[in-house]
Amino acid sequence: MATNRSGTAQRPNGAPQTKVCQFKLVLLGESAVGKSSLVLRFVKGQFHEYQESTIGAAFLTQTVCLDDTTVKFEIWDTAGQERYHSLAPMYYRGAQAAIVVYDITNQDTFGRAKNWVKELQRQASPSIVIALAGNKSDLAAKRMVEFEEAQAYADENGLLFMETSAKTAMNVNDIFLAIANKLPKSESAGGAAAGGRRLADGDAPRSSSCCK
Amino acid sequence: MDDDLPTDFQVIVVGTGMVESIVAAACSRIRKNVLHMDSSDHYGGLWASYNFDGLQKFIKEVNSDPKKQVQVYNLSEKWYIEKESPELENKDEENKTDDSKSEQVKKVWSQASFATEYRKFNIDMTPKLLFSRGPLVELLISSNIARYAEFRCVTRVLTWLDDRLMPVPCSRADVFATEAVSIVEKRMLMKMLTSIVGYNEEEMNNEFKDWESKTFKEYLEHKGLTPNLIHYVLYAIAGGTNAMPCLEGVKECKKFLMSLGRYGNTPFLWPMYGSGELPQCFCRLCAVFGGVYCLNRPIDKVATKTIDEGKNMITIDSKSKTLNCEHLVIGINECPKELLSTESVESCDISKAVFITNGSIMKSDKEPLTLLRFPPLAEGDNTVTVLEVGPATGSCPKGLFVVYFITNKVKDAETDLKPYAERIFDMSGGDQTEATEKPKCLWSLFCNLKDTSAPVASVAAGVHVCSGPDAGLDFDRAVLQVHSTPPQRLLYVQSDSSGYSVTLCSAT
Repeated sequence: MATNRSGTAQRPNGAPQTKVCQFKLVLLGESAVGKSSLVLRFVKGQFHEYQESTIGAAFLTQTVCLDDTTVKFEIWDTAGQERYHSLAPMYYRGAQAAIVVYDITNQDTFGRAKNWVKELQRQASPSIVIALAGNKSDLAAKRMVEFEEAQAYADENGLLFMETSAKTAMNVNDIFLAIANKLPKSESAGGAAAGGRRLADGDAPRSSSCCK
Repeated sequence: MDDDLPTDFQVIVVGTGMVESIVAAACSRIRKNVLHMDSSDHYGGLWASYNFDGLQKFIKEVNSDPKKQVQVYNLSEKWYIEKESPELENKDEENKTDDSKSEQVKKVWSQASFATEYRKFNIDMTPKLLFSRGPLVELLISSNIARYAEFRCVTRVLTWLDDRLMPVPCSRADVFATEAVSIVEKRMLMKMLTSIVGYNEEEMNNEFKDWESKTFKEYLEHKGLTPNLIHYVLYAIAGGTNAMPCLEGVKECKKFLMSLGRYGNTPFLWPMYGSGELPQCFCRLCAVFGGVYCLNRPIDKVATKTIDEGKNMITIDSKSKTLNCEHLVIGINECPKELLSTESVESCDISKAVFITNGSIMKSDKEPLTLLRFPPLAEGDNTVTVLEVGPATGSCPKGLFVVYFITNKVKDAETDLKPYAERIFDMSGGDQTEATEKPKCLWSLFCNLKDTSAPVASVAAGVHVCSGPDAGLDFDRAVLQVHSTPPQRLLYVQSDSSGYSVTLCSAT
């Protein structure tokens, strides 16, 4: 998988033949596990040691190029609504993919991640692709959650699993790529709006990695 | 976890209903420091939508502790189907042996099968449509909140005429295509509709200047419209009654006509997963711009004092913590009585019903999304608005429809609405597989809702009360409440005494 990395973080090269599929991807996990940092690393290639709590980012978009398909992720961040257990159900409505993030140096966040997985299995669409990300793998010295434990849990629940580091970029592109590979790319899966219509009228065309 | 909740904010919003959420988003958008709380564990307050399990909990809560939901009364739930499906085993075998035809075999629903599929239901406490060019659509687009939500177009407008359901021609093309209206009538209708579109409130043109004190029906009769056409225009398009004042009817018609052709064949949109999604969309925008969210957080006491320079200081006791703010925006359902001004407001309570049926009220090729407006069927009744939504809207599992009835209360919800429901549903509770003209009603819920839609003043400076849902078809009153100017009373006007100003638009 690592060999594919060169293509993952780049914009589509404009090849006319590729099919473009757009998917809504939501991030879940306890506060301060690095959800926003993962996205920032993936979308902009940046990392800030003291990342402010997420302000002003409705969602970011980034594309991943597979062999015959361009997968465009519309990535939703929680905007901090998870902090006091107040995430709105509309957040994961219609999401085709989710990354549930925990911090490998904090056992509690792994417990919370399991709850989020349960919540998604109960509330989200049955075909949702869920990936579990054990973030902050650069802090392995302070590890509190064993790799094997998380892997076993992920296997049991049919989740993709990787340990990631937004700081060193380890596995960040890879986890998005793995999700892109697992998503069904049928014609009908083409738009995030497969459910209903968006009131696009008057909307400026979306640039590929904007945030408002 | 709640303990690390910060205590000092510029604005605290209590309640996550539609009006409160619009205000929260507006305040956050102009970089006010906002805390948004709700006493219950879900979003929406009186505007919430519930899955079937959540709805059962809500019903139980209202029935066991009426004080907790004082706005809701006369709540009665009824099943028309068995607890368990008796031929469940047979059914399975049938499906196995004859997979291709299983689609055509009507599923036999039981209370147990509702419970299993509870998550596929999204049942609204306050179902409402959006006019395609109404103020809410404009607000959603200009604030960029539109991209959090998805919609379905209402596919048809029906009316009840000569004891049966009739489609109402909506667009110009519809009018010309319909066989229910003669050529001469068509010409009259188009002429009248054109003059209605030309109506302008500010410069009363000649067409309407003598009609101020007359009814809309008189106007339509004066224009020479035949009884059928009057029925379409008055009841189905304007949603009025015989007593509807002329200018009100003209305004309603104009609103309908102006919203045609933007998104679909009718002027209306319905939010995917129900109206209860929309407050959540505004809340998300508030959070995206730094608003702090805390559900399950009841408030115990509110105290206000004026500190120097006329600045307000409001303290709120909540879960052994004291929160401070300059402005408290509070939903009427969350507001302590002593904060409300006692001046009486005009009100008319609402009668509501929700039905779950095994088919549409009127068959159609594609899954329909229907607005039906009943004219009053008996002396003293009000018009009844009916919304039928299907599985494609995320409201219910395949094979079912959710149908909402709303009217202004006369006696009580069941007495007011049952006669109307019986016209379009089979409420006998008989065999579900039997082919009948009308869809079978499988479950029903009637309730009355106190009218809290009138603006209410608070007695304390810096406290702003948001009103609750009205019986109207759309969200306009909720939106205008936030964006109106002082005569229509408070909330977030262009500027108030504190120099506070909000314009929720253009996300730059």
